[in-house]
Amino acid sequence: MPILGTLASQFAGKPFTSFESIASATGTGSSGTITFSSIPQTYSSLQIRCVSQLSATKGYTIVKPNNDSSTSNYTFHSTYGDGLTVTSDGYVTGSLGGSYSIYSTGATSELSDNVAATILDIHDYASTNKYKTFCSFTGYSNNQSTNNLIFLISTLWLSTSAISSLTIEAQGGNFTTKTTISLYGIK
Amino acid sequence: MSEAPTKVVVDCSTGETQIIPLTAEEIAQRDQDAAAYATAQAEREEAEAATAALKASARAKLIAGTPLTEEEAAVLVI
Repeated sequence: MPILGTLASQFAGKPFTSFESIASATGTGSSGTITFSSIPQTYSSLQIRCVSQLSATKGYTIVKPNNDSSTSNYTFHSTYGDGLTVTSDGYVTGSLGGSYSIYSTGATSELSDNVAATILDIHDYASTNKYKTFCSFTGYSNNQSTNNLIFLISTLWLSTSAISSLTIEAQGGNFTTKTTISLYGIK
Repeated sequence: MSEAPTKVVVDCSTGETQIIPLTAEEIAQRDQDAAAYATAQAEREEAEAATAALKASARAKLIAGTPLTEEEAAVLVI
């Protein structure tokens, strides 16, 4: 019975354990790849929350489950806006070898101290009988009327393998020290 | 001589972080990914430019009261 007659009061003093930090990594300025290995298989979903900046120009950052680079295993579509127009596009298998689900600002693009923010959900990652769906919300504002970007991206990884590692690869340059990528597990 | 590219590896079971040089295979894969991305991005930008040109042409024809092509009408009417 809730002490104060509210649902929240019955959790007073107890930690919420359904959303847990697994690991976190910071950009070094000299590495373009960050890998989370030996991911525990005990959660129902994974979530990546990151702020990211590339040392070169802005662009996509690839996420590869189990370091899989096979172009036949990825298909994705996205809707994105730049502050003026909204566009939609998609790629079927055979073109790109990874999930293009994170967008990063560039240290040489527009505002040099700006970072892009991303929330990426990877559902049922430990399953061994279904393909895996990635859903991300990523983008940045750039204090300009049109040169901003916000994406909603859905990726399908056509593999029934459980995900035990995630490799995050910059497309152009390295991750600057303004980058922080955190991995969470959801029970 | 430039430094060898590296990767940051975080072992989620131990919390240990290592910085490891990329292998020749990993460097080749990274270059391949970058090339594929550049191609895909160029194709996307080309498609966007073509659509923008069609819209501009359609708008100009609407204002002038001249007939639109089927492609021009298609970008204005969903």
